[in-house]
Amino acid sequence: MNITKPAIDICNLRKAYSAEVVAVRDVSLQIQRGTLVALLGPSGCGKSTTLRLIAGLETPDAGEIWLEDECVAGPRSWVPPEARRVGMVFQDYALFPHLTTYKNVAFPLSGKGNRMHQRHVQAMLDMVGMATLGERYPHQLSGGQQQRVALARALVAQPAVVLLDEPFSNLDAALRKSMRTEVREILRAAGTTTIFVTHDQEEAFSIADLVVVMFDGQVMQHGRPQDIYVQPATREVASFVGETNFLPGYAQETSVECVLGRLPLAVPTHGPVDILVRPEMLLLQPDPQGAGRVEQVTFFGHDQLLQLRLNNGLHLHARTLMRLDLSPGVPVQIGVQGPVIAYPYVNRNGLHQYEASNIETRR
Amino acid sequence: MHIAIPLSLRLRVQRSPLVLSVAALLVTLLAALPLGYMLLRTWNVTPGVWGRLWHGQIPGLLENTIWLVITTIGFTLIIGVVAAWLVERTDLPGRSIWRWLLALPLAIPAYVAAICWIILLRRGGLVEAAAINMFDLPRGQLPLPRIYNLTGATLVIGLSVFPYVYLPVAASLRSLDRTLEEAARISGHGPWQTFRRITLPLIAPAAAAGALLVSLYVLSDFGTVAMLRYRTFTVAIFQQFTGQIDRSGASILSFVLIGLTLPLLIGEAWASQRMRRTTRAAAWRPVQIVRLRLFGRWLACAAIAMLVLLSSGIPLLVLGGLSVQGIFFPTRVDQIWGINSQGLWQTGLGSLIVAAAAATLATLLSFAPALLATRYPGRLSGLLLGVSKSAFALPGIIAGLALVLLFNRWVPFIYGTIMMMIIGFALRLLPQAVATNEAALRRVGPSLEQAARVMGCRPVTVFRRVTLPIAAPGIAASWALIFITGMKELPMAIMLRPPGFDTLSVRIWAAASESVHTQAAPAAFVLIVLTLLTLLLLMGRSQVGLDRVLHEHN
Repeated sequence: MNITKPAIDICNLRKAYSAEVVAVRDVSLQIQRGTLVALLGPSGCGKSTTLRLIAGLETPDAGEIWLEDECVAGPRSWVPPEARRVGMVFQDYALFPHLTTYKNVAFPLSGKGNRMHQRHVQAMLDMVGMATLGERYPHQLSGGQQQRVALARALVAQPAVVLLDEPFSNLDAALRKSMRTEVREILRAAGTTTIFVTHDQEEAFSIADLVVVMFDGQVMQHGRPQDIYVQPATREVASFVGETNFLPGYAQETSVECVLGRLPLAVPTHGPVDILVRPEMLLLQPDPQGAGRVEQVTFFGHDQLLQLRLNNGLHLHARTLMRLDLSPGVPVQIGVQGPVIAYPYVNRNGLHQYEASNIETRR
Repeated sequence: MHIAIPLSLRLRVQRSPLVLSVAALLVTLLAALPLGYMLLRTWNVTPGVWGRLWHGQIPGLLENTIWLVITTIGFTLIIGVVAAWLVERTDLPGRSIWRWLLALPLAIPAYVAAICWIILLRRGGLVEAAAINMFDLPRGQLPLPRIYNLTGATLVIGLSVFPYVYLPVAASLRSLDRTLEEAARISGHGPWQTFRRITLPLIAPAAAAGALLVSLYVLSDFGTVAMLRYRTFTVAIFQQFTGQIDRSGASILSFVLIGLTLPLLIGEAWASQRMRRTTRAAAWRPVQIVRLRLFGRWLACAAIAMLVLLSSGIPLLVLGGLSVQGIFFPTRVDQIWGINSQGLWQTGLGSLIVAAAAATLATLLSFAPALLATRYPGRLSGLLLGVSKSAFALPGIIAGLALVLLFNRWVPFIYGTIMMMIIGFALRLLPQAVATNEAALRRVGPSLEQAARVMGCRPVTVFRRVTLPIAAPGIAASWALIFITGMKELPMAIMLRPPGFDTLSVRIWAAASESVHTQAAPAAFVLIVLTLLTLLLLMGRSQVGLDRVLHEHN
């Protein structure tokens, strides 16, 4: 009887905008109190709709949503958004243009007739580092400042759940990185259960405790960021969360035979497979007798991306530190670091072993 | 030698605004001339005249005028905001049709609407005649609503100018960011609280801007209040000048009226600035539509239909009916088409000539300040632009009075000619021309002109070969809009027309002032048809909706 109830419990949620457009097919999720969750997926995968369903901005066609032991949406119950005790940061922040920063943050408290909230609002502004800018109007704030205000407004009423819809997409690249860590620290300090939506895997990995990958209205995988990256459940998830090389191979229990030799398998399996090799798993060594040669080098600074062509015609992508000075044409020997993941072979065009175009890369 | 070339280039860039600045300054002075002259005249009036008027007419006029402004603002705000909300935020049937039918009143001058209501509701009017025919009532027994009072003036003017409120409020409701309302819901506010604390404040600047335009209109309106015999400042100024030939008195009354206009003008500038501040350039979702229940749907539909019927349906039906009757029943031609020897078509031609010539002159003059402000932004150019634009608020009756006095005193050789009428109209239309042409010129990106300069074109050549061709559609639209204003202009036409020369608006006025209102119908009908034709032509050209065209026009 000591099991803690999840802060958010979603069962078989479904939302269709029309017969053809099904935004959320069948989503079930349980999120423990205090967790920071990222809903990750390509645009149109239903992640934003899921968030809006939790907020009460959309009504589900089927399924239930429970927030802290209360069924807020289900076949027989409906709680309007204003009664759900959630906070939300919108993609464009949705700060009220006719209210000052202070009044924007105080807004969620004002409906409750609480006259003692002045200090609380000020404390919130302190927490997000906006204490001195309370009298400014939203249009007088920079993008990062607007986001801080939006965050303070979402947290001020001490909601059970905070929802963030693509919170960093309106910031420029440099600001985005610094705001990520800052927002994470603020949310940790507040200790709330948080769900944020993003299509940027780097953002999801660097902030969240738990990543939920969605494709086509369904949850494909959820787990720690490390697990998602190292052991993606499907080829699609693998491609979405990082750069990939897929190589044909034949699995025999704990190892797999492929063009790069016999490699250990992370999960035992058997039969024809496609194995996933991340570019940074490839170890290169200049060697006149090597199995391939460098075709193209893209230099990034701290590392470089190499396009390799194996002697049998297969292309591979490798990411190495810049210390290794390789120029196009150099023959290299190729090794693999660590165990690999195998996916059941899907017959696409009859070829399997050593087919030439079997590479998928995503940056 | 190395820096000689860039230096000379810089000099050339500086020289052209100097020519332009002088031109802009002259045009601005011209636009401000009527106002300046009236103020100057007031300065020279003996204090005795001041005292006589201050203790005589002015208190009553102030009371009448201010009451009319207040009631009309209240009336237009209510129907404008409610209509905008119903059309933009509910699932009212036929929304796309209502959207432009509700803008239609702008094509019907308020004084024409007033005539229609008089034709219908006066003793011996159409309603009473119909009642006598149908129910065999004795003459004078039917209780008719009284329209020659504050209520009548408020309703007639309000129904005619409510689009000033409706259009900006509808636009601001359409562009409202849906997430703001969602954010308020998330923050614990119910639908009604959200409307009161978020939606209403967000549309308030648009409503305020519309209300200010309404009040400026009410202050400047002459024809409607004169026909409904409601004495405001404009009516008193006209009577003082034409009836009693008391120029000092008319000047003083004008001065007080200008004093009433000034704070509204400042308020208008403030409101438009505020509107700019609250516009957001973010990715927005279309606003949520409120689903009305069956009964509510029909009620809302009936209310909007009633508004359209009262504001544009009845005037068009009355005028159209009387005009058709005049054409097909020749026995009544004398009565309907007037006893004046000059035919209606000649009158129409007179209107066309004056309005077209004045619109062209005003457009040409307006280039100087508009070009200076859009191409060489600065404090001076902004000031010139602001002054030349804001002269639009000067009531036509005062502008007409000032010009009559000016022409009579300084250029008597064109006094009483069509030239005087055209120049006067051009000065009257100038502020509007500056505003619309500025918008047209702003659409030409400065980088295009800079590219032409770099390719070796002189500024005049750039204007001729780059700016003008690109801005041409906008300039044509602007010309058409001020042309329509010229066609409708009443007080100035009455004051400046040469003897024996008629325009449509003068003909309407003459019929109304002789209490033979039915005779005004054909001229009014032709006026509205010409206005609508010009607008339709404009719509086909510029691919924008009627509501946009009509709104920019005002």
